[in-house]
Amino acid sequence: MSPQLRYVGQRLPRVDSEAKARGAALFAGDIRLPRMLHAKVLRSPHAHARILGVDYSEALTVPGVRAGVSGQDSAAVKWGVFRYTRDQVLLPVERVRFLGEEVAAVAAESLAAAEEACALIKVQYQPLPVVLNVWEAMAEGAPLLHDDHPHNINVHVHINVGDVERGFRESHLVREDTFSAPEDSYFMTEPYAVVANPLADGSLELWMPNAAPHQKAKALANALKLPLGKVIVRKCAIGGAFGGRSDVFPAEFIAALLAIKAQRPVRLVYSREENSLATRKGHGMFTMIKTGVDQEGRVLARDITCYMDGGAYSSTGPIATSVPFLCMEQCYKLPNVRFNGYRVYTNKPIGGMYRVHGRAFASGVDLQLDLLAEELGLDPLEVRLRNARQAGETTPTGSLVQSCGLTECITKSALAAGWRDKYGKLPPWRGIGLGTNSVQTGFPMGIRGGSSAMVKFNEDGGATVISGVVDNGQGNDHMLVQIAAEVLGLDLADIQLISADTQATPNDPGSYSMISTLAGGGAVKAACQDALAQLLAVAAPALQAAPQELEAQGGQIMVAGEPTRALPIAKAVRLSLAQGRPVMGRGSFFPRVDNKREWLKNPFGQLSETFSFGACVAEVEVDPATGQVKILNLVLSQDCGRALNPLVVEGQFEGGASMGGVGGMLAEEFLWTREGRCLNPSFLDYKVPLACDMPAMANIIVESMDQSGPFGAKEAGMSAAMSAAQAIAGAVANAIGRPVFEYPLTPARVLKAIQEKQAGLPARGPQK
Amino acid sequence: MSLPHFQYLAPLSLAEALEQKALWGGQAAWLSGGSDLLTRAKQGLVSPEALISLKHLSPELAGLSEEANHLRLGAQTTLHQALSLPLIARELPGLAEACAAIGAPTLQQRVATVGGNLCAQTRCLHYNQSALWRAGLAPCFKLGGEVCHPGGAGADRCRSTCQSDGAVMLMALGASVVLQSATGQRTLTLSDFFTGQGERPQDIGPDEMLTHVILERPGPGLGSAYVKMASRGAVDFPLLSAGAAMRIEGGLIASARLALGAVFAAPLLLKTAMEPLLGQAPTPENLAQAAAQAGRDAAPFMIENHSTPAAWRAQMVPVVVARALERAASRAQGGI
Amino acid sequence: MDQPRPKQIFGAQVNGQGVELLIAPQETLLEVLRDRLELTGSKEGCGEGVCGACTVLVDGQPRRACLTLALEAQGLSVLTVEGLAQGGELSREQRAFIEHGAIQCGYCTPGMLMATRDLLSREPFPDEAAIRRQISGHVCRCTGYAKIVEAVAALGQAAPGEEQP
Ligand SMILES: Cc1cc2nc3c(=O)[nH]c(=O)nc-3n(C[C@H](O)[C@H](O)[C@H](O)COP(=O)(O)OP(=O)(O)OC[C@H]3O[C@@H](n4cnc5c(N)ncnc54)[C@H](O)[C@@H]3O)c2cc1C
Repeated sequence: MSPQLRYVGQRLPRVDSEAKARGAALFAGDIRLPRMLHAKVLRSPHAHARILGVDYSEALTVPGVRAGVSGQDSAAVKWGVFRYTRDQVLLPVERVRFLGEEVAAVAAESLAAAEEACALIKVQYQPLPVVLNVWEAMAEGAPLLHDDHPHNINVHVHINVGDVERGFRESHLVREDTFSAPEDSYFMTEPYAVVANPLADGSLELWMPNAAPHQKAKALANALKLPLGKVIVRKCAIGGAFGGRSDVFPAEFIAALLAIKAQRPVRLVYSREENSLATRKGHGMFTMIKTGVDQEGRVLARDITCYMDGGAYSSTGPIATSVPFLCMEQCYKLPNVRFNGYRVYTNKPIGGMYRVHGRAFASGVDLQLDLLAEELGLDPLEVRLRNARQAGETTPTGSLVQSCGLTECITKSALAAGWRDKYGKLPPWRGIGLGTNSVQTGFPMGIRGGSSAMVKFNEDGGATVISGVVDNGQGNDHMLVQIAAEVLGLDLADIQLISADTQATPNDPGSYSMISTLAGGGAVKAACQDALAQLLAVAAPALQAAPQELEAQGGQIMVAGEPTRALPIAKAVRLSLAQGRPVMGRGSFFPRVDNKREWLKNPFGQLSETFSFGACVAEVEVDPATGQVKILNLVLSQDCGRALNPLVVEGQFEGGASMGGVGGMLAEEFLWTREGRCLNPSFLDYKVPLACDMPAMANIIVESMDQSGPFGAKEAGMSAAMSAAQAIAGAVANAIGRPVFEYPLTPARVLKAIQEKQAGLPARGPQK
Repeated sequence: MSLPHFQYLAPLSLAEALEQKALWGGQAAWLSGGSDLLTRAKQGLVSPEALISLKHLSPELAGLSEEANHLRLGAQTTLHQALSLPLIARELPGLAEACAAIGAPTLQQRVATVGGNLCAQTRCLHYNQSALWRAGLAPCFKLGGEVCHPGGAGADRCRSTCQSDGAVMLMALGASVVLQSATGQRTLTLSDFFTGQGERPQDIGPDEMLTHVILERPGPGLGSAYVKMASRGAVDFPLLSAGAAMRIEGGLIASARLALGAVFAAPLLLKTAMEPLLGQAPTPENLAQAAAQAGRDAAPFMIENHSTPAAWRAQMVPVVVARALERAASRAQGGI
Repeated sequence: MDQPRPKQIFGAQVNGQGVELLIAPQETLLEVLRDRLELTGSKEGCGEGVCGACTVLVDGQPRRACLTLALEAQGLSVLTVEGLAQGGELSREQRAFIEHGAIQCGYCTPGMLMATRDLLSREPFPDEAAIRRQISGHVCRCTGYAKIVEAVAALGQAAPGEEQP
């Protein structure tokens, strides 16, 4: 039945881009409602302190101030992503645990009045001793952030498959290395903002950048002790997420409390600094990796222990602690593997899921493979190919990999980059490196793991698609519209999209975990197919044909192969209405995963229905006098199943390589003072790459045509960010003739490695 | 981030501006491009009662005039104008390089001024932060307090650094500045203008305006170069920089001035390190020796007040100095 | 606080339309555009001149609206992203950004477009280095800049003499 595809695979401008180009797209901070108040939050100046009292009575006397809140005004519900990680009171009552944590807030007629009032809030603190890294935090007798978590260990993920010790015994060569990196940070260009609007019926409308409107609404309803139906998260344009908008923040809780108190709409807009400190940051990481290989470089056993600096609360901790390992086990064949991941509480801002999932993990694994290859006298490319995952295999923790273009990614990237002519043959201080990885498409999330969609045809022959998928900037809106237009035989412009609005749209897991195309796109595809089937059934008698002989194309329903026997879709829709059979399609996609799989208690079983794979080759040049690294070229490839829209896929590659590779590997890191102050929360001091810093990039799209994904598509958002980071680590090591174990590869770190080499000192891993 | 309240004045002539400033004194601040002043005002680091805009004074104070044996560069000349002036592009490439290295094209190149760059405040990773950041911290020397956070317990003064690219190069070029008030005028060499005190980096009275920069006419045999190390290719302030000006006569170095940026509250003029070069040929060995000495001379100034380790910055001094000297020497001999 | 703070009249041509408002002297151009004129196309990404999302053209010169007092633009013409399209027709910069996939989340887009307008008005046929330099004061976290550079380069590829609207 499927005619030639008209949209899938085409380079199409995104449907949301015109509004953005006109400056007409409304982001949360752009929204202004009648009688809206402006909120300002007072934050803790201490990294750890007991709150002895909060008094905002004087703040309320400032002209224009309409409401104030502190923890005392809330139900002080402990929130957590999981039942067992409920550790954060969204507006703390008893203790603050990081510098910048929310303590109180006011709402006023003007921002200036709110700022003035905020300065008058009196808080009495009793400072407590702080722990600012995992070693301090786990030390005997260290102050505990949460009394029920000894040694400040928030999460321990333990996985042990096969017989690791035997694997090492049987190995020809075993290496142990430690890698470390401080926190990275999202720096999405839009600072966080919330608008909360109390409605006459007692419900509350909210807008904020989010990655999952339905999950936000559920958590907020719990925290506010409101029925789910009374908390409505609406759609707005979103200025980037990268994993950093995934869970619930105090900002929306505070805006909601103020709005309810004042019975007025409230807007709370974070400064850049607040966005850095009080939403999420990446995890700092120490990763100890021990790998045993046979003579051909095949990995026989691997043992990884990873300590992650999680900051003050759990957030998505169990997931964040697992994903670095999962990406690796998906990518490489591993007969015996052990993983101990510890997420540790510290008095720092909260760690969240970050697009690269730990430079000191992914890059460590790949760099160590290079080192093993070198010791064996093998080409790292060969070693990658020997260990690369193949379709039909099962990961150590039990996920079947149904489609896999990893080998093709590796070979194509290597070929395009000229690996065989360059590896070992480059002039001094030039280097080449290779990174490979795999990414999930969603996780088991029980009843929230699937996406559903509805489609209705309109009188003019157009259609309205209703889906819970949210667009953070990556192009999900376009993806949904494009799929619908393809299936329904309509133009993109004929599709109206209602999405990411908890009042109107059915459940969706959210656009983190790279699931949106598979589940959300799959649901829309199914709904469209359902609607179309209904419409064809109406049209069939009119065309004197059987429904299965019909197809929709260019706004017409026609007998396949006989374009003259056609009926405009608009007519068919009218016919259906006349017959009292209005066309409403519905569809859903619940990924086939093992819902008994649990992050800590049972990390086994099918994790995602399918996985994506990617590779990158980087070429760099190092200035031996300064340690500065110049990236000359990145060749990015990914098996994304199928590129629904190559223009969008390339944008994901290039953006990923910039964030994870160029920025993440060369410059981005948070710096801290001894009191737990972040020294570089600003766009000036945190070094996001600029246009002048970006190398040439080549994109290679590999299509394995996944059997479950819509039109074969899997995901395209994350892989390049990781593989670019891995490749750059390898390329720099190749250029200077020794590995660097601490990331990012700032000039200071690279120069130190060069000098240690020149002094004949051994290559050393990071010190605790 | 909102700005604190202030009054705004926009005098139409230099004379009017100076009269207003005489009236307001230290309570008012000059506003040129605003790219330094307004960021500090937003962070609550300054709260002037009035801003006196120089926007109408460009006809009087922008551009270059060539006089008998010197050049006068108006304070209101924008960075973009400065680096596009044919004479600067041709004969003072170091100055053009320094101006081009400031910020980014659409950031301040077109509105920020040479005067603003010379009068910009010294910077420190622990000072240029928000009010939220400073809450709960004792005020530092630069804010009228008695501590220096990066300097540590023993610190007896502010350790902020001059990170104005233009200032560093102009110091190397031996420039002077004209300071004018309603009642008079002074001309100070930059060595005198920059006090070396982070608390008050420039010697400029509350009623004075920097109106012009005075430069020696370059003439043949002068080579200049500016080398900046920064984290990114644009926007960023220098982590370390070197401005060099060298005159070569008959194949021998007749004069060599070198200033470092981002290490001291003033552009750090390294006189003793350059002295041995006088009368010598600009060979790579001679330049390298001077650069090594520069590294030793600058070492005591290095503390953890930048976003990169002081140890690395210290090691980079000879590297940037050598690169600046080499390029200046090559230009002095007709190279590019 | 104690005394009423004097306000000043601000007048300018914003996107070709005369506006007159009573404002406080410390209001930035960005605040006036966004909060008073409800022209929210210009974005605040950092408020300290780094990210470039608030860039507008004042008398043809790019300025960070977040670091420009509105009164500094007194009597001048201000062009914001909302003023690029003429009579509903997208400008050529806007079309190029859309067609080349240069827009992802869209938050940096307004500033990027203004930087593009400025560059092409001075240098109609910029090479890649000039494009990268011009937009290096604008942070984009989504695209890695590749598609933005492509879009601007495509605009500069019209042969000399061809109409440049
Ligand atoms: C994101 C960002 C990046 C930057 N990067 C750099 C960089 O790489 N290198 C660099 O050098 N600078 C940098 N700067 C700082 C600043 O932009 C430049 O120093 C610029 O040249 C300052 O000029 P202005 O005209 O904007 O000064 P303003 O901010 O207007 O003035 C600066 C100071 O000088 C005073 N002043 C101004 N004019 C006069 C005068 N004629 N007489 C007496 N006093 C006067 C003001 O009162 C104020 O105290 C950066 C700034 C930002 C925001």
